[in-house]
Amino acid sequence: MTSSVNTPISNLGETKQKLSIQSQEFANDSITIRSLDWDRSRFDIEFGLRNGTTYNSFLVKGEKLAIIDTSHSKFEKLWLKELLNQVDPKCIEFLITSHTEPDHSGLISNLIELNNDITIVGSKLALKFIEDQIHQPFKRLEVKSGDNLDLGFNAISGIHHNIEFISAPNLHWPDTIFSFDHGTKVLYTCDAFGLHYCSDDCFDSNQNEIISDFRFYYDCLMGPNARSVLQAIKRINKLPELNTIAVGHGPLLKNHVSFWKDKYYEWSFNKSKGNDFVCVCYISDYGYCDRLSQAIAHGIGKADAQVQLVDLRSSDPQELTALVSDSKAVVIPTWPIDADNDLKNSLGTLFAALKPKQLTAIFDSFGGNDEPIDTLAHKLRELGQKEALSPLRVKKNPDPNIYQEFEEAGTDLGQLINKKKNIETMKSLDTNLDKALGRLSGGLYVVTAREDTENSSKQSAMVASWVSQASFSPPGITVAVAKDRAIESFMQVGSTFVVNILREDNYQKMFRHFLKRFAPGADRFADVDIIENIAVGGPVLADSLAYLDCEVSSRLETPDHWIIYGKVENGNVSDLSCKTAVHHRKVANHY
Amino acid sequence: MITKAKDLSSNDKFHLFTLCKDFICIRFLDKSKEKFELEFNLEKGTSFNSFLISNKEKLFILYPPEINNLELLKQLIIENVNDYKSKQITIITGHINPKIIDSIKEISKSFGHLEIICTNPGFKLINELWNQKNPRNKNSLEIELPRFNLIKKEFHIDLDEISLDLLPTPTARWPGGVMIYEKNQEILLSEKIFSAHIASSDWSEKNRISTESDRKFFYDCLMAPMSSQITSITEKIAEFSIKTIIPIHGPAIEYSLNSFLNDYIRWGQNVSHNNPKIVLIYASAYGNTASIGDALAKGINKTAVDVISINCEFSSNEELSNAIQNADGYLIGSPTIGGHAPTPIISALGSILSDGDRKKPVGIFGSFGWSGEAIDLLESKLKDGGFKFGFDPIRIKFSPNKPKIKELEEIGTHFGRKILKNSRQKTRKSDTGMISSKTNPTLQALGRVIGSLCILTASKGDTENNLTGAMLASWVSQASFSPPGISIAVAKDRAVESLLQKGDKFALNILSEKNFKDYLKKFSKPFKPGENRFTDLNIEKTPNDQIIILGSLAWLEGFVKERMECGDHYVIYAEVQYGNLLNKDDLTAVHHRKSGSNY
Repeated sequence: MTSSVNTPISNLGETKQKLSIQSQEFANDSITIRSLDWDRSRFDIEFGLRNGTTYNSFLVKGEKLAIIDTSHSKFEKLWLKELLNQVDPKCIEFLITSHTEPDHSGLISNLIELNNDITIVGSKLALKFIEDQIHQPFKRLEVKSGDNLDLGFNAISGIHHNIEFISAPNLHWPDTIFSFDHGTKVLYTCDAFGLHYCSDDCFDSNQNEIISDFRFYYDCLMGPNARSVLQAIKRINKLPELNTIAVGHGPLLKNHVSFWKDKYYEWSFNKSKGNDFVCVCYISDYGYCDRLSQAIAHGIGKADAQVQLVDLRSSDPQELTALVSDSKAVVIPTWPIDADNDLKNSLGTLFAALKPKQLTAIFDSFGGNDEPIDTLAHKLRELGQKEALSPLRVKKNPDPNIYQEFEEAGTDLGQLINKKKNIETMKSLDTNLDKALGRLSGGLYVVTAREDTENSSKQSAMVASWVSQASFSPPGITVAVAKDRAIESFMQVGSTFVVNILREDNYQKMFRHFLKRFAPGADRFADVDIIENIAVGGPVLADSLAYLDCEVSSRLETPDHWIIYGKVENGNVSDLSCKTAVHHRKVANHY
Repeated sequence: MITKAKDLSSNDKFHLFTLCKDFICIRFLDKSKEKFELEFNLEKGTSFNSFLISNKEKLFILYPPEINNLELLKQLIIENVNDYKSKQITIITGHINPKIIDSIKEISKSFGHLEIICTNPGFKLINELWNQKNPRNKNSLEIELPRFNLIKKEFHIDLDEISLDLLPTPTARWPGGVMIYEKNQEILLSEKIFSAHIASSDWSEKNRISTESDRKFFYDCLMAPMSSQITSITEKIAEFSIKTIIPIHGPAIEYSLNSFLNDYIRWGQNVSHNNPKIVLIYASAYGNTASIGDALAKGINKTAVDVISINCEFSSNEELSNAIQNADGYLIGSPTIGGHAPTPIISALGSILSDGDRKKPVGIFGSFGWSGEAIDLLESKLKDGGFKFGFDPIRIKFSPNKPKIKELEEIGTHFGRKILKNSRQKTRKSDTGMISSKTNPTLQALGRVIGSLCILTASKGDTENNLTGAMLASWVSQASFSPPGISIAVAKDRAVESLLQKGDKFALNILSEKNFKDYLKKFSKPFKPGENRFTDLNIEKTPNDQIIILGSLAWLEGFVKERMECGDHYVIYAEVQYGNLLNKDDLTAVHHRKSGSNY
């Protein structure tokens, strides 16, 4: 059943978004209502692949009827209509909230209006968040890992729906709890195992089509909590074999359950090898703290360093002390001046746990009532901490440039942590092999890219030498880009970029300029002569010998780089008599 | 879904699965990597799925295995089928070759009461092979031909809980093809189509990605030359309600069936229909002549030329002469049976002589056991008819070995390139686009992307089956630090491409700017199929026996980790394990070009 409307977003006015709704029975006595958000391309990093998303909610019909999660408030009309199609709201006994991010819990108050006898089931923290969100009394049932909610036998199918809860803190919110229906062997995970991918297909039928979205989502939201992911998988493995993972975003995972689970394990295992990690603290539900901390964490992950995100509102003091004192660096947000007692206690614990000379970095939460960032900086200096980065300030509502700045700052911090490790691996390369591989010479190029969103535009650049032609028909090239490069996130399949080819007789200036270490978010093109409008993919350097305007058609992952294959759509040469600058090296352990 | 197919018993030779009561799948495993046919090139061994269905009166053997597994089959029947002696035995098969005929003969000898259900073309093949005698084996027993039940269209068999629909699915390569659909469990036994050569004892593949390259490879080797037939069969299958497909080779397919069937259709569409075409005509789709044809076809398919396979024994005259009139080149393959070419080959030869265009190249091939008169006949008739040969007639005694298969593939590629050249010359006259490509600014800019000049060498297999290849490479670059890795673009129609599958080792010789010209000349001239690329060169071996050219500046040894399809090339990512400098002082030869439209 599918219906569709175009809803103008009232507060933006000019943009129309396509929304639709779909419902389907996916297991015995279990129905999913999926809210399809086709065009969602908010600038949150996790939506980088721009394939829209879905918000999935579920009905489980035992003797008693339970609903698991709701939807985003923009689906108010569609979702409630479809819900009424499926059930009489008076019959709903329980609302299980996997976690309370507004995109899943946006319609709780509407549901309570329809039936104020519904008991809301959730973790302690989730119930507390809901109190703050809906501002009205409700029936509640607090559950923790190992608890059961017995929905009884379905009269028609005869199946016994008994729900077991598994706590999964930090995936990716602190209040997250999974639900497992022993009657159908379905695991409801909300954000975990999800992907931002919108299509009519309710299931993961086309594995190839969605794996890059699955991976991207993991990298953005789960990777920073790799240790927690491993813990959660350990708990899942104690359950009977899963039939389906009913996720909160994207297609339900039914056809390849073990494949997806194994991938989560493999990626998380790789990320949690070794001991050095950065502890990124945040305050859930305060200002832009969540998203900003995720941007930093994502950046750290790109440098192949480990991260642990910690919510200062909800972590247990012992856990917080352990995490802070074990970490190589701690990232701290500004907090509200009128912080409540719990938060004050956590902050106290945090400062007490810091070790002298431990690296710290601080950022603005931009919650409207922040403790000034300079006061915080001062406090840390007095405590004798080493400043890893200059304070990350936010002066207006965060836009893509700010998120990019935070991500780049995270990468810098990750590289700082990993410096020692990297030098070690550099030295470990067999010297003969190293010299031989160094003889593989390339040209010198500057890759530029631009990304335009609704009302802003950001751009990036890097020096490249690992570039070569890859095909005649269509004409195409490959560029190897280190995973920790800021520009890497601009070069997803379907996006565009420009390769500027440097001149043999005049490359030094551009080469030096773009090799400089840029401050996070700094404009790479200040003081550079650029031509804006001849290439779609990004700025063309006026001093280059030639440029190629490219579109990414596929990517291949290597241990520390992505090989990006781009079709050459356009290009030109400025001087036919000049040759390309050549980059000869003696060793292969650096560019 | 039979995800929990019960694992009855097994060892490294076979696995037994129960599909439902009285319905068993026997998977014979063959882990040997040394197989000659092209289709086994990924070296994962293979497996063969046979099935047993029994009730009180009857025992059905679906798709009997080849003779080497027959003893095992007999033993498994004795162990698993109650009171097998009193049962009427029925064999259903569409996949027919001499080794399967030997099995059927043995079954007939041991159990008696035999009936075979097959299609008309299937019967024709069985009949021919049944009476064919190996003159060297004088003691071969005369066994009477069993009883046949010939089916023309869909045929239904009902047995207690099991309900079978037999679906004739003739193709050029397997004219007798019969798929079997079991309605209650929604299982399709698909014979050759959808197969993959993997010696896996897992009942079904865990996910699509894990076997995609194997199935695609199988498709490219065997299905691509008859893609339109395969596409229409796949489209027909897609209408059935299916939970499990069990092909004759490899694990069952249970996940993402729809997307899998779509892939099969899509792979067929990629064989573009505007390309020049070669018609490949052969007879008696069994044994070695067909596998020579497969190797030639695979080689041709690496160029932008399509192959249309026609099994002349099972095609109408009209179909044959249509194909001949539309083709840009002809290939005919014939076995020699009793000192003669089979009659259908003679009449196909007649069609070429009457309908064929003498300006278009022709090639002939065949295997022979005791004499090769058929090839002589084809050669002299075509020569007298004024046809020009694209390559010397291929005569192979019994079956080709691995290096020979690779050579055949290269002959195919050369033949394809020749056709391509002819058809380009045709269009070039009216097209001035070639001149503009020299001044096309995009291609000029692309030409400014430079690379190091290298010679890639690859060597695989032991002494007798050793294969080597080499090519000039300049689209090479480093691609990772730790572990160190490189990327290399290889054109799809390169002979050496087939030696660069995942896991294959190779060496990269980086040339010096002082002497690169000597090597450039040697390696840029076209090699004849099978020609040794390294005569007159000073060579040395890497730790894993890859070839180092001593005149180069440095060498690297690596193995292929991943492959990515990029237009008309594959980009290979390889991890580098060894390497050294041969010359400390010189600089790398860098290749500057005027245009990105050539290397």
